[in-house]
Amino acid sequence: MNHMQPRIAFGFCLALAALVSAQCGSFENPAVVLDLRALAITAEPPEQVLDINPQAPSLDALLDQLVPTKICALVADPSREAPIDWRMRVCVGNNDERCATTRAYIELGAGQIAAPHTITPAPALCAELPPSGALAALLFEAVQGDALSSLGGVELTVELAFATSGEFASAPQYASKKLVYAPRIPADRVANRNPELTAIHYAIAAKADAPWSPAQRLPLTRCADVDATVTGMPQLAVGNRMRLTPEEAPNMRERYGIPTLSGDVRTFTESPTYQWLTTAGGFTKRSTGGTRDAFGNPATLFTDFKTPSADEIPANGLASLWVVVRDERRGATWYETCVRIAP
Amino acid sequence: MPVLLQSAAPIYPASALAAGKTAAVPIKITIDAVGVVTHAVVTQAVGDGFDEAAVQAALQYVFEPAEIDGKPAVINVETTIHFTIEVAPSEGVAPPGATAADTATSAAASPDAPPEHAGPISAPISLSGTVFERGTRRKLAGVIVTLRERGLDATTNADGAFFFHGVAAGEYELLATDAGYARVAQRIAIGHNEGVQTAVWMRPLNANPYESMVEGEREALTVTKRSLHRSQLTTIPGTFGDPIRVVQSLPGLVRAPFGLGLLLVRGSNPDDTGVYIDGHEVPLLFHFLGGPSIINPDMVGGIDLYPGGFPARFGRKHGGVVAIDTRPTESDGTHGDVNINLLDTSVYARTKVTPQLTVAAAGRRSYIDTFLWAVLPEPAPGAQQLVVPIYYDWQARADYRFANTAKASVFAIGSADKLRVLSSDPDEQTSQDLSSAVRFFRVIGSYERPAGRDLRLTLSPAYGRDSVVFAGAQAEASGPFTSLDIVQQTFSYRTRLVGNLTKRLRLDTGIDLLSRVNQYRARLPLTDDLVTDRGVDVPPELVQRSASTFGLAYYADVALQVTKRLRLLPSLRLDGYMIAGRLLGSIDPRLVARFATSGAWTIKAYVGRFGQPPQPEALDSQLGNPGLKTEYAMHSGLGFEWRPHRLWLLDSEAYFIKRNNLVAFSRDIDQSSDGNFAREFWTNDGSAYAIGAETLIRREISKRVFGWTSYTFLIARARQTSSSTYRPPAFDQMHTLNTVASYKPGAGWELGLRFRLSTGRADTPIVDATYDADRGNYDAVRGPQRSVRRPTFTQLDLRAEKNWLFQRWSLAGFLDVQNVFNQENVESFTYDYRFRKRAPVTSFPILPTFGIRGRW
Repeated sequence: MNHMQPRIAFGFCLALAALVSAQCGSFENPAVVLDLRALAITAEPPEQVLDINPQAPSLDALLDQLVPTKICALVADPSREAPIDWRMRVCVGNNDERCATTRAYIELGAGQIAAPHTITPAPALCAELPPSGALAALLFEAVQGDALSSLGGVELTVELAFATSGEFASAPQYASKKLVYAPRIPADRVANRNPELTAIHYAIAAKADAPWSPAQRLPLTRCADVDATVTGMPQLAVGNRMRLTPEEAPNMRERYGIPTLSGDVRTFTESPTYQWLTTAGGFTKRSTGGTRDAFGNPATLFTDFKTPSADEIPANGLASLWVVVRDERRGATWYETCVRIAP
Repeated sequence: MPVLLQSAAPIYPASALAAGKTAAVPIKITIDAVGVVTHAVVTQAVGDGFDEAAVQAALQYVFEPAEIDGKPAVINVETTIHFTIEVAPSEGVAPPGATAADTATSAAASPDAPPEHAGPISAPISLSGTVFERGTRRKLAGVIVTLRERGLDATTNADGAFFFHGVAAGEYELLATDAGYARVAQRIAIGHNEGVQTAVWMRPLNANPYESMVEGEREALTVTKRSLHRSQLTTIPGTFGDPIRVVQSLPGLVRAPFGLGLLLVRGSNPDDTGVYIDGHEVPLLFHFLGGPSIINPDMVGGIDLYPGGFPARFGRKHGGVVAIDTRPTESDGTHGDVNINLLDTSVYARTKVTPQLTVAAAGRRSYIDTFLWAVLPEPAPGAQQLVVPIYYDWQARADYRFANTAKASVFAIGSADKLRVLSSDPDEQTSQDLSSAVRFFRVIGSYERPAGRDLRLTLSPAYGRDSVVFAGAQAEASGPFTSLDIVQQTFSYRTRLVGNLTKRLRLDTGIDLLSRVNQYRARLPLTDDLVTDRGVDVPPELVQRSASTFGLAYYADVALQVTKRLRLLPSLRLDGYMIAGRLLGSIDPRLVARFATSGAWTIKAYVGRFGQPPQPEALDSQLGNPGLKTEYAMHSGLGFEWRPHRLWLLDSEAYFIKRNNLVAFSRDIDQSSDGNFAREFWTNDGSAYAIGAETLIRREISKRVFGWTSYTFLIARARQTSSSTYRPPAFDQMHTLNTVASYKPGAGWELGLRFRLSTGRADTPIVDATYDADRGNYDAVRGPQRSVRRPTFTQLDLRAEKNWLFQRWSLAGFLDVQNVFNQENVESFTYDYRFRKRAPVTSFPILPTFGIRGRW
């Protein structure tokens, strides 16, 4: 350790080196779902605010106030029509965001869902976490491990393990989500709600610098559900661009307070983010929304879908699109739609 | 070359004289610190009794003592003693008045005459002249100038001048000889009653124009010091002619990734090694992206690396020390050079203003910005992009010599690295304007005078200002949205008294004062008081903090010659600090022992304590921990030096270093009695150790060859808290091998190579990944921390330089090829979004650099 200047100069060099070497590697586009992946996990409710004394929580008071939490996962596998085996646990997570078998956890469920990408209606991969002594024990464990004595709330980790049927033992994948349990600090604290969109609008341009068509409401239909009754589905040709703009529900951006270490509260407004995913093509921005960047640019919500090249168009001419909306307080919702692409 | 004050005529071997034989005997002489020749040896025997006569004569020479760093020093010099027979004048060319034939003469005309005068001193000067070095116009002292037909020899004085008296009119052959230069023969016509003036231009045989051959220990108050002379600094392949980068090839240092100029000494962090210019610390060494160092090579006199156990006059660091001595501007005229390469152009000039005052200045400016656009990716349609990286530096120095051997100097240095990235995307309605700059300057004064006995006193104040600025804004915004502006003003002052108190006792003592004020002005989203800041939209706010440091140290390094073979070097440094209002201190005793077992072997051992204060911002009451203590390290080592030949050195050392109280970042939160919480930010819980061994095999500079091979074995481990496990630090490399060699085949060519091999740095394996559904990306599941190694690094660099010497200037062209075999050296890995695939991030591919340098 010593003077700041060399350290900053070193960081400066590394930042520049990173800038120069940023082109290294050629990997898959994270926005394009090619094979089995988890895309989202939601919890309802995402947060529970409890009227308990965080310094000396009472088990009875805790059990009286806890409500069941329904946890659902969005899993996709466009590469094959195979069922998926899954298992869900909840625990005080470790550094890998998983539930160690050497520590306490609650088994939420396990089972199999039909091939999620092609089956109608969409199979649900859901489990419920009811109030229980085991849940309370996990919460007490989380409080004991929290240096802030749960001043800002504690989090439990939901671990989802899943794999193509028959491969669970050999090639499981893992996804995680946090469930938030917080004391009512400040006194007017209200539990977070999952974000909700009113609609997603789309407009089409023939090419990158061509004018946009009038915006239309995007029908939220899975590709597996597409039939002749579905109207208004975007029809794209190779080279077209489709601008996707979410319309947020009124009051979706909640105001909330965060306690400070010195006992005060600072109030903020949610800055939801939008993660865009597809099975073919790509986006100009894989993630939109969020906070302002370091230059002061306000976050834009829209992204432009870019069609795949002619030889990458799926055989049925349909590409699935998902948008996962998240707030910074563990709230999440997903929407799925479909576009038709002509060569 | 030292100036010859007193010569002695060799006794012409009678048999050779009778046989009419002449000879030129090349001889090497050792001149001690008072100018007396202590040893003379013929380097190429000629026989006939000439060799013995030459040795006898040389042992009677007296020179003006050579000085290194202002102190008398032992040096070796090669010269030639000529045995000529004055021939009888022949018709047509006979110089009238020539003396009788068969008279043997020697180097000087008469015992009473100054050596630059030859012939009867009372006679008028018939021929006078000055000897210059080709290419630099430097006046050469100590050159033997012979008027062949008369057998008269004169030795040029400090101004390169020679005089022949009483030479009759006629045509003569004038010979000029010196060991380091090609022999010159030119015809001279001397008329009746007139004095002829001439100039003799000599071509250096191999050495660079400013070099001299220097040996001997410059300083006896240390255990391990690796010194680089100027001539070793600018022609090492792969260093872009950068003197300071050469240090990275010495033992004790491990390789810095991506060619960055980090000094990674014996397992310490880069910030734990201090860089000093003329005794005063400077904040950075290199321009950005592993660019050149911030000082022009012509301004560098020498560089010393102390990888451990350094003298007490250096402090406030517990890693190592790199001490750069700037080069005095002493000049016999106006000289300079221009260096043009693919990245930048530098200019250097020095001149004599008055006999007492000489000055030099240098500057460099990059022009990467003029061609960077060609290699950057095209911006999106309608978008704009501007990337402007610029670096420049400048130095100036003035030296004034007082009549009483006191001298004063002022050295100023400045450096700037600026980067601006401007981009806009109208479609996205976003724009980015990122500007950053790292600047610093130092002005360093020095006044040195005799202080009685054998002591010299140096008073040296310095002032400097360092600044780091980052700013981010939308294009055309009135001001930055986020910014960080750090300014550090430093005043330092050193008093140094050094010299021999007695024949057995040498002292180097002084005061080291430091006053530093750091000011931080930031416009940032501050979230340090929030219990959680995940994804929170916190508007930036202006924060201004300042911290002051006052450090006062007294130090003493003592060298005590206990016996003829045993030398003890006890040291003590007392450091007191007031940092951010807190008093801290450090008492650092050190002891070095050197035992010379024989003429060639020396055993050395040391142990010592080295304190280092926390950075002032780490003690900040809001964003730091005011309770931090001083870091310290215990260095201990045992080694030997073996010099089987004056040109060869084997230096080996094993060491153990333990670092304690290291300031480490902490995520801990403490709860006070009132129930409120506070972040700790920093603790003194870090510790580290390093066990290593180093070996240096070095071939000293000779006419054609120099080089070294260094091997560094290092096991370094560090931990952040007292309860965590010791792990290899980020730059840990167990084996580091460097070989540097330079060869001058003649005809102005210099060829060099550098080969590097090092163990790959420690890495943490990624074994799996978990999808974080709350953020929409994958988190890596990592294996044991730093439990695997990246691939071994190997790289060969070659350099060829050709010098063309003209009478008044010289031109050099060089081709420096880094990574000749285009080895793909893995510095890091990038991973795909699921951490299933990875791609290596490699160091530089083959990188040829061409440049030219003009020097006059």
